Amino acid sequence: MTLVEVGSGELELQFTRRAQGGDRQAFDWLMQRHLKAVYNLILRMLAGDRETAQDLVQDTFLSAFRSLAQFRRESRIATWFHRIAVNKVLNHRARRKWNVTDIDPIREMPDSGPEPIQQLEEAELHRLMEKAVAGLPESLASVFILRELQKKSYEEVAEILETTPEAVRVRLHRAKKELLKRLKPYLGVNDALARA
Amino acid sequence: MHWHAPDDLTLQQYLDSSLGSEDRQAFSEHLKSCTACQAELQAARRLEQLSQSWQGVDPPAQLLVRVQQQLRPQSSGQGWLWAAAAAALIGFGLGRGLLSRPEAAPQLGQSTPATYTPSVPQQISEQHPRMPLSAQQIWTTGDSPSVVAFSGQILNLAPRTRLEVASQEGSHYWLRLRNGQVRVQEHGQVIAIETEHLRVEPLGTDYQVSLGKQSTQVYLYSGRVRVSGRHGELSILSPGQKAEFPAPLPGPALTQVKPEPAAVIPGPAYPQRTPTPHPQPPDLPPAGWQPGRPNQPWRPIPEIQHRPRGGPPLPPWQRR
Repeated sequence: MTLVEVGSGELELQFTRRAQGGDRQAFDWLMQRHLKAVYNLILRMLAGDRETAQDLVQDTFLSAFRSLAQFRRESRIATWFHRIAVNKVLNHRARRKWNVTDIDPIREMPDSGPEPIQQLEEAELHRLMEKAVAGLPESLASVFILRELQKKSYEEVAEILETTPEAVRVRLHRAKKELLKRLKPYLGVNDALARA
Repeated sequence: MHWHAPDDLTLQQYLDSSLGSEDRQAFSEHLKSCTACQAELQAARRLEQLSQSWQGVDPPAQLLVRVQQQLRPQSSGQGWLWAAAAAALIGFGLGRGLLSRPEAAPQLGQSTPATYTPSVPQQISEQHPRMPLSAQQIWTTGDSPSVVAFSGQILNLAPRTRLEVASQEGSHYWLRLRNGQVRVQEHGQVIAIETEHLRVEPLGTDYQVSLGKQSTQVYLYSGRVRVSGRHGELSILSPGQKAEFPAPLPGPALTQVKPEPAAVIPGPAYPQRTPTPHPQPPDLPPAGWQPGRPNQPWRPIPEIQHRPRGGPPLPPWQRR
């Protein structure tokens, strides 16, 4: 299931035009439509730091609103929102000189050995996956979040991250490899196969 | 083509259906006899399933409102900023005096009066409420700590501390810590502490800033503070947390960074004096009291009972 059920691209384009023409309600509509996706992208990139995620979501939409005139409608507005959001996270991380709440995500994983897959709820597995994603280098995490969790196309991810679809494929591959390394014990791989 | 060991990229391409037909067929053949590749494939498929079923979390309900509130005034230009700040100035600042002379300090421990350099600004333009003050108030302490009350706040000054009123915006004050350590117990208006390298903005709270040679430390005892550095980096502390800013870095001084006007940041992340989200200690002003209301003067806090739980130890000069 995708995070944002984007309906007619034409409708969105129409609202984008109206927003660029100064229609605040149109911008609200666009923002409301993409708020959850942008929030989740930032939240996952920040390893679940909700306070900062909310601040950066706010910064993202404020920046988008302020520079709406510069948006040339060559991509979807969602792509543009996401690009701003990624930049906000990267800038935040680059500028932040101290860590207050950062927790090593992997360290929080169960250390008493993997439980049988049957005993792990789906929600728990999602939590483990989120933590493992948070432990990835951000260049890999962003690709995994956008492509695998938010179901964006390679082209769209490339556009958001200002790279090429090929680079996205490579990074995604590396991200999955890392995640599998960390999550394999919890993914219920057949014991006989896993021992092989 | 033959595979003798699990090949991650090939496996991923196999999953993506992006392998050429010949390679795909060859890999399928290989899979039949390679349990290692089967295990890899199974794990990768499971990860894919997990990704498929992941739905994320809903953003907090107030987030949209908060962003919308931030956006609302901007559609009509920047005048809102000054208007809002001016409103705050009138509502909070004027009634209590724009930069009123510090009130009589409640006795706390064995503190001694700080040297106070009074200097009342003649005017603060409502058009530019965040203007630096033409003159400054300065508190300095000698070898003893001191406690001063300032606009409803209790400022605990460590020995050899120098604290200045740097600027004001509406009911918000920016004090510049030049040296030493200050603990702010906030009970009314908003006071932010700046150093050369960072700014600490309270969100209804009790916090302390210490300037050391090696680092600047921020302790939070209760409430919340927003700590931002001169480059704009930001953290919000929760009670019991400490932020340490390691060493001075080259770059523009904090004062050159245009501040986000605290008075006009809406939403629950910033202090809304009524109602307060934090449990009220017994020595808060009476219900309905608002800063600046002449008929309900500030009731001095007789004694500060609060001690941090699990937070950093109080410095000796603050222990009783």
